[in-house]
Amino acid sequence: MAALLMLAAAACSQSAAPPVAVKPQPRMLQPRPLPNTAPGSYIVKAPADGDKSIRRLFSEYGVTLVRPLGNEQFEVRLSQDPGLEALQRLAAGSRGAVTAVQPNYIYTFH
Amino acid sequence: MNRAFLASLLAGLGLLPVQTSTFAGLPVLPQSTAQYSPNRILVKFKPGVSGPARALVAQTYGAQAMTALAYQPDITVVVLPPAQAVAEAIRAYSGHPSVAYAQPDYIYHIEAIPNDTDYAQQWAANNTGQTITTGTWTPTAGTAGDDMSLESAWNAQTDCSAVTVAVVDSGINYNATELAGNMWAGNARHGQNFAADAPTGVGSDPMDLNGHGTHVAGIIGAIGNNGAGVAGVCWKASLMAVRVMDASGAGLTSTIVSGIGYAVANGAKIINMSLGGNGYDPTFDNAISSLQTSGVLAVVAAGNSGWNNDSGATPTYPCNFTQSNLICVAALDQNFAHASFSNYGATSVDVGAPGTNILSTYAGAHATITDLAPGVASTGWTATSTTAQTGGGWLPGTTGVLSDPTAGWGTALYNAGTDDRVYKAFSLTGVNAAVLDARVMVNINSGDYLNVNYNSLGGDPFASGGINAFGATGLNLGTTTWYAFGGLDITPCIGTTCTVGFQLTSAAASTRSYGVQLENLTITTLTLNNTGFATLDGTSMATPETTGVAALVWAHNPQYTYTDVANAVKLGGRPVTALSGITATGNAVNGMGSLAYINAPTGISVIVR
Repeated sequence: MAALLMLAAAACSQSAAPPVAVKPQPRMLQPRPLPNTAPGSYIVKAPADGDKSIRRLFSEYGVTLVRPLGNEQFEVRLSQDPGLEALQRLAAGSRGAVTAVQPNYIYTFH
Repeated sequence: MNRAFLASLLAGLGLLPVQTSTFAGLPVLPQSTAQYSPNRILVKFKPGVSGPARALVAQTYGAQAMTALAYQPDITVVVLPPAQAVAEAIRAYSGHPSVAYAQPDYIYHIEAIPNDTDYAQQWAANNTGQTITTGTWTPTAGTAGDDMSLESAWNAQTDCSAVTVAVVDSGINYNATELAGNMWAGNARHGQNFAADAPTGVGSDPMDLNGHGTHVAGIIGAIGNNGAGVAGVCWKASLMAVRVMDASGAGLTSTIVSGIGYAVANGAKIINMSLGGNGYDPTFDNAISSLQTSGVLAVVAAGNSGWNNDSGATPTYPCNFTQSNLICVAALDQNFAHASFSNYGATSVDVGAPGTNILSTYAGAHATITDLAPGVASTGWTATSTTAQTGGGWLPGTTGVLSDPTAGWGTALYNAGTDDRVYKAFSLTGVNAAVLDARVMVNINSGDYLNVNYNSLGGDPFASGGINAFGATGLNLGTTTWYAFGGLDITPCIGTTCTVGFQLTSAAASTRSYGVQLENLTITTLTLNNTGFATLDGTSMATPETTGVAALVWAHNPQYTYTDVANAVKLGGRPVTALSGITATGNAVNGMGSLAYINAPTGISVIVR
C-alpha cells in the first residue's frame, strides 16, 4: 500500500526540469502531501466479457491483476501507469467493452 | 413502538411513575415525570407522639391505612384516599403540629451499571465529571450528564447479538478476552481479510495488525458486566471482522467495497466504517446504495481534519454520500463541546457522539525502534557503491549521498551511473506487524531513483530476495523534496535478520544532484496480546459509539427497517448547542432517547365514510 503511495508521488514529480543541481535547504521545506489514489491501480467497469476485455484493452500497460469486485466491476493493476485520462480515453473507444474507469482511492482511519 | 409499549418500557425503566392510568384501553402517559408513589406518602411524627395520636392524625386526613416502618419507627407510611393527591396530602400533614415533616415515597430502581473493572473510565456511558486518567485530549474531565445515557438504555437492552455488526476496518483481535465471546460465529476466523496485503484465497485471516479495528470493536461490543475491562455499548454482540485496512492503516476502494460485499452476503445489518478519503468515489457510493436493498445501515466517520465537509473544497467520503441508510458522525468532547479535530457539516454530518479519551480494547502493544534522528549519529549501517565517490558523508568518499544526518548535505554531487546502498539489520522478533516510517530530503534528477527495500533473510536487501517497499520501479521525487513516508508495511520482514536499506541509482547520463539525506527512521511494531486496552481520540471512536446505539435499537425492535433505526439514532438524540448549525440534527447520540424514540407509523390508511 505505502509503496503505491510513493509511486504516485513519483509520477507527479517527474518533469522535464533542466538538469541543474540546486543545493537544498533541508529545514525550510514542508513534507509533500500524500496522494489519495493508488498509482497503477484502477476500478474498471466491463459489462461484457470483463476480464478478457480489460486485458485486451490495457495490454500495452502490462496488466498484472484483474480481480472481480461484483457489479461488473474489477480492480485492475498495471505495471506501467499511463494515468487516468489515458485509460478513460481507451475506454471511450472500446465500443462498450469498458464503460468506466476510476481511481482506486486510498482511505485512512478517521 | 406503540404508546402502550412505550409506557410499559418507561415505567419498567423507572423513568416514569410505575402506575399509569388507562382510558378505553389506551394508556395515558402521566403528565408528571416525578418518581414517587402516587397513593402513599411518608410522615415523620415529632418525638413523643404516641401510636394512637398518630392514628388520629391519619384519620383526620382520611388515610386508608398507616404502618410504621420496620427499624424506622418514627416514620409512618400513610396510604392516601383515592381522591387525595400526593402534593395535597403533604401540605396537609406538614401543617399538623404533631408532624415533623411529610414527603413523597420516592421510587428507586436499580440502574444497569456494569461491573467491568474499568467502567468508571467510560465517560461516554456515564459522565460523572470523572477524570480519564489515560486521556490525552484536553479536557480529560468534563460535565456530569454529558453522556449517551447508556445506563438507562441498558435497563431495556444490553444484548445486540441478534444484530450482526460488521467492523470494516483493520480487522479485530478476535482472541481478545473482552471480545472473543462476542465475535460473529459465521466462520472460524470470525470474518475475512480483504486488505491489500492479504494473501489471495478464501479464509484469509482478519486478525488486526494495526490496533484500530479492535478499539472500534470494543466500543461497540466489548463483553459487558463480566467483571473485567470495559463494557461495550452492547454487552452481548455479534462482531464480524472485515479487514480492509493494512497494518499501516491504509485501505483502497477495492478492498473496502469487497469487504462491504462480504459483510452483506454474510448477514450483517450494520456496517461500521471509521475511515475516509477525499475523492468522490462512485464505486464506493454505489456500494452504499446497494446496501439499501439488503436493508443494511452504514455508520461512518466525519473525519479528523477539523474542516467543514459541506464545503465544496473539502468533502470527505463516505461521510458526504447522501443515502438515507448512512449516518455520519462527528466527535464531542467530555463537555459535549465539538472536538476541534472533528469535521462537521450542516448537511453531510448527521449527529455527534463521544470521541475523545475513549477507553476500549486494543489489539496488542506497540513498540518503536528509532534509529535515525536529526543530529543523532547511527552505527551499524553497511554502505556500498559501484562508483568511486568523492567528498564526505556516509559512504567513504561520498558527499550527500544517502548521508549520515550528522553530516548534512555535502558540496559534491553523486556520480552518474552509480548504485549506492546503505542497509542495516534490525531484530524484529516476537512481533506480529512492523511499519517503517522515514523522512528524507531528496535531491535527485529525473531518471535517478530512490528505493527502500527490506529482506527477512538479512544481508543486502537489494540483492536477490529483497522486497521494494515502494513497488517495482522505485521513487523518483525529482529535485528538492522533504518527504515523509506515510508508513511502509514491512510486516513480511519480521524475524531476527530483517535488513532495511536505502538505495540511490542514477542513470549513466544523469546530470546528477546532491542525493538523499535520511533524517528520521523508525520502525513501529505491534505485538498482539489478548488483554490490551488503549485510550484514543477521533471520529473513529464516535462512530462505533453510534453504531452500538443503532444495534441496541435494532435488537430491541427487530421489526425495524434501517430507516426506523436511523431515525431513532438521529432524532432520538439529545439537542446539544455545540452541534447546532454544524450538523443536520444538532443532536448528540443518546441510547435511552433512541430506544424511546417513536417512529411515525407507516402504511396506515384512513377510510372516510
